[in-house]
Parts: sequence; structure tokens; C-alpha cells
Amino acid sequence: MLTEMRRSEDWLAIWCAGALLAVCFAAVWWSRPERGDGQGSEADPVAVSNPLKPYLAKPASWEQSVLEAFYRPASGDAAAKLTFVGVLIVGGVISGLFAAALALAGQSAGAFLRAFPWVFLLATLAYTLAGHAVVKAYNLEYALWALVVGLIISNTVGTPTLFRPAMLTEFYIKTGLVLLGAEVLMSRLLALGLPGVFVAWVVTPIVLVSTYLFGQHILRMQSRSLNMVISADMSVCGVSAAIATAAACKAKKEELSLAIGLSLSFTVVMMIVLPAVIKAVGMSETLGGAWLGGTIDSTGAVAVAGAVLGDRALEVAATVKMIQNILIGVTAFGVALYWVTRVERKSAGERPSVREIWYRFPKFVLGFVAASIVFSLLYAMLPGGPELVDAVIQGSTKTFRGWFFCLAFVSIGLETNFRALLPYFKGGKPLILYVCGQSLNLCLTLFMAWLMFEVVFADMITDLVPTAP
Amino acid sequence: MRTRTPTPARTLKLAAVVAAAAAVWLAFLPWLARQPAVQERLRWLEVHGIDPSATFYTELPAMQEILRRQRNRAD
Repeated sequence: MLTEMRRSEDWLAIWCAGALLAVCFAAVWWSRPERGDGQGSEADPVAVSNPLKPYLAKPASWEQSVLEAFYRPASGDAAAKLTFVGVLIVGGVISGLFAAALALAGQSAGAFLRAFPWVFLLATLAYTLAGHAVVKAYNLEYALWALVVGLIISNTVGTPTLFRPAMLTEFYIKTGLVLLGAEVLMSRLLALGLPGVFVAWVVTPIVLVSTYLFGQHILRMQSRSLNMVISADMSVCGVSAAIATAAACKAKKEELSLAIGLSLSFTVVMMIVLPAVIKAVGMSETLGGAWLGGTIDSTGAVAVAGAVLGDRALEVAATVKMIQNILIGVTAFGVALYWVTRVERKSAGERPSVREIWYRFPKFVLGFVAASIVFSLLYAMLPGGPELVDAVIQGSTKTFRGWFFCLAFVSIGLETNFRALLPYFKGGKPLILYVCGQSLNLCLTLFMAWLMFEVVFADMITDLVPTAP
Repeated sequence: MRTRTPTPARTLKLAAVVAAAAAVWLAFLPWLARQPAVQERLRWLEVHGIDPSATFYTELPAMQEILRRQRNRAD
């Protein structure tokens, strides 16, 4: 057991992410302002800042010159922004942390340290491509560009052997997912009361399971894991759900890439079409917002579509999507358990023992759940908990999490040959699965949103979402 | 993972892709961003605190304000 905790990738991911969470929380905790009289006031929340925030960055959004992504000169009252320093510091921290982890596991830290700058450079390039304001406006997320950058290299000159020690896709993903766990705060589940829970947590599992069963028994998809990843990214919340589910069911990297490609393609269309439909049929802002939040895969696209309808729709849509985001932990845990107990059964009828389940269960999922529980408790129970946890996430861990996923997608692209993706398009089953599942999602979400927001809890809605924010 | 050896043809392919990407990102997209309709759209997104590329609620600037309002209402 101790050897496994020192050598297995899942445990190393937990230690690395745990170390980052601990250091970031400690930095915020020790730098929080003291209340002079020791008596806090709920009406006067403490202004908490993260001292690490100025030193951790990703390439910034830019419009005219790519240099804006790394440096903005001082203007007026605003100080100069040296984003490239934050980028270099993040790179340094990740390389040091992972080199130490690999050394602990008895692997070559030296080879990793020689390779990492190149992979990190490609991730920086991917972030820069994704950071152009017009690219962002169409929800073309960094994951897509990270894949493309890697694919271009691997399918032209070929991936240099030098890069391979730092192409640690699963390690990056698992570490990023444990960090993501700290952003899954249980107290936010009731942000929209019971109506929000019904739309986000009742409809979503029904759509997920129905789409998976449809894929297995009607479409007869060859790959269960591809089926599961597409079902999850379509029903839960897009890229982040796809990553968590793919790791939980040990999906192939090509399957994750395909699922994300499908999700992003349809998201752009739905982001434009759905608000137009809502306006055309005269749906209320609340109902329209709930429908958008429960169906459009990506958080950013949900916000765009909601804002087109109005402030109330934006609030409802973004909150429903946030409640769905919280479902990621449960989804990853449930999928991992299902995979270990049913899909990976050794022989027909032989149920794995508890010991076997524990052995095969992806431990990083436990790290994800533990991070969620710990930070949910800190949020709810510490004085100034919301401000402290928000400062930790917004100022540091969110940045690291994004970099880990970006590095993972670059690594996937570097390992993938275009020809490896072609078999998945045969027969068009992934596309049919997505379209059928999303159609069910659209119908069921609309019905549940109507039932909850316009019938059962209609009286409560004005209190939950006032007309004038 | 299949190993590929860089050949002149493959290097030329990479160079062509890089040149095309540079033309799009360094020339076309900045020009597009200057167009009045696009500028209007980008400022609208900024004013509403929306990052369309956000993958999780913690990446959406508008969400912080929404959560603050919801906390105040709950209090």
C-alpha cells in the first residue's frame, strides 16, 4: 500500500494537487486582514486577497498585438501587467513539482526536466491562440487549440523523442481534476433552490444514463468508454465533464478528443440558435435561462446565450450550469464505480470483491471528492469562508488547473495520429449518439424547467431571481 | 506511438501550416477585431463580464457578481 502511494500515478496526482491546494490556502490564510476587535460582521465581509495572484498567470486575452498576451504597459492608473513573468513562474512550479514526484516514483526527473520546457511552450502557444478576443467570442476553447497544436506537430514532422518524457497526459489530467475538486462547492447546490436542483440534478442523470443505454443497445457503439464520455459531456457540462469521465472510465485519448470536438461544434451552434428560438416563441427569461443552462454544454456559451435574453436569464442560466458543474464529482465517482464493478468484471457472473474494487478504483477520483469535501467545509464553516475559498480558487488553483488540462491536451495531440481518429467516424455513430442524446436533453430539460419554474415553484421565483438585480 | 522522421516534405508542410496560422492570428483576426460590429460585440461581452471560453463557473467573471447577489439575498 505504501509503495502504491509513492509510485502510482493516481496517488502522485493527489499529492501534487494536495500540495498546491495546501500552499495556496496557507498563503491566503496567513495574509488575510485581521479584524481589529476580533468581532466579525456578516454584513461587512472581509476583503481577502491572494498574495500569489500577481505571480501566477496564463497568456492574457488580446486583440491587436500578440504581445498584449504577455505584457501590457502602464496606462492611466493601471500598472503595467507582466503576464509573461506569471507564465514562467507557473512553468517553474509545475516542472519542479512533477520532477520531485517522478523522482519519488523512481523515474527519471532529468529527462522530464529536459522535455518539459518544450511541451510547456506548446501549451503557452495554445493558450495564446485561444486568447484572441474573436476566437474566445465563439467559445473556441484552449482545449481545442492545445489538441490542434499537438496534432500539427505529430502529423507533419513527427513528435520529437525529446518531448516524450513530459507527455504525461494522464498525470496532468488527474492532477488537474483533483484541483478542480476544490472548485466543486456543495453549498452552491441550492443557489436556485429546489427548481435548480431538479433541472440540473434530476434531468442530467436521466439523460446521461438514457443516452448511454441508447448507445449500447440501439446504436451498438463499439466502444463503451467513447459512449460514456460523449453521454457525459453532452448531458453534464462539456469539456470538464468529458475530462473527468474519460479519466474515470479509462477512455482512450482519441475518444476524449472526439467527444470534445463534437461538444464544441454543437455548442457554437446552440449558443446562437437557442436564444433566437426562445425569443421567437416568447418564452420567459427565467424559463429560457433554465433551458439554456441545462442544455448548452459549455459555461461560457451558456453565459453568452443567457445574456442575449437579459440579466435575469443570464443569472438563471449561469446558476443552473454551475449546479451542473457540481455534478461532475458524483458523475466521475459513479462512472468509476460502474466501470470497476460491471465493465471490468473478470468473467461473466463473477462479482469483484471489495478488495478488488478498491484495488482497481481510480484513486484520483477519491482525491477529487476529498478536495471538494474539504473546501466545501472550509467554505461553510470558517469565518469569512466564502471570501477565503474564493480567493484561493480565483487567485491560484484555477490557474494551475487550467495549465494542467492544457498540457494534457497538448500531450494528447502530440501522441495522436489523424488516422487513429478515422475509425471513430465510421458509420457516424458518435454524431448520431450526440444528436439523439441532446434532443432528449432539450425536451426533458424544457419540460422540467417549465414544471419547476412556471408551475410548481412559480411563486418562489421572484424571490429567488428578482426582476431587478 | 508511430515514429516519424522529419523529411523536407514534412518540414515544408509544418512551415506552411505555421505560415497560414500566423497570417490568420497576426493579420486577419486583429483586422476582424477592429470592425465596428465585432468591436461592439467584444465590448458587450466585457461589460457583462462574460468569458465565452469559460469551461467552469469559476472562470466566468459574471458569476462572481451573481454569487455575491445571491449571498446577499440569502442573508
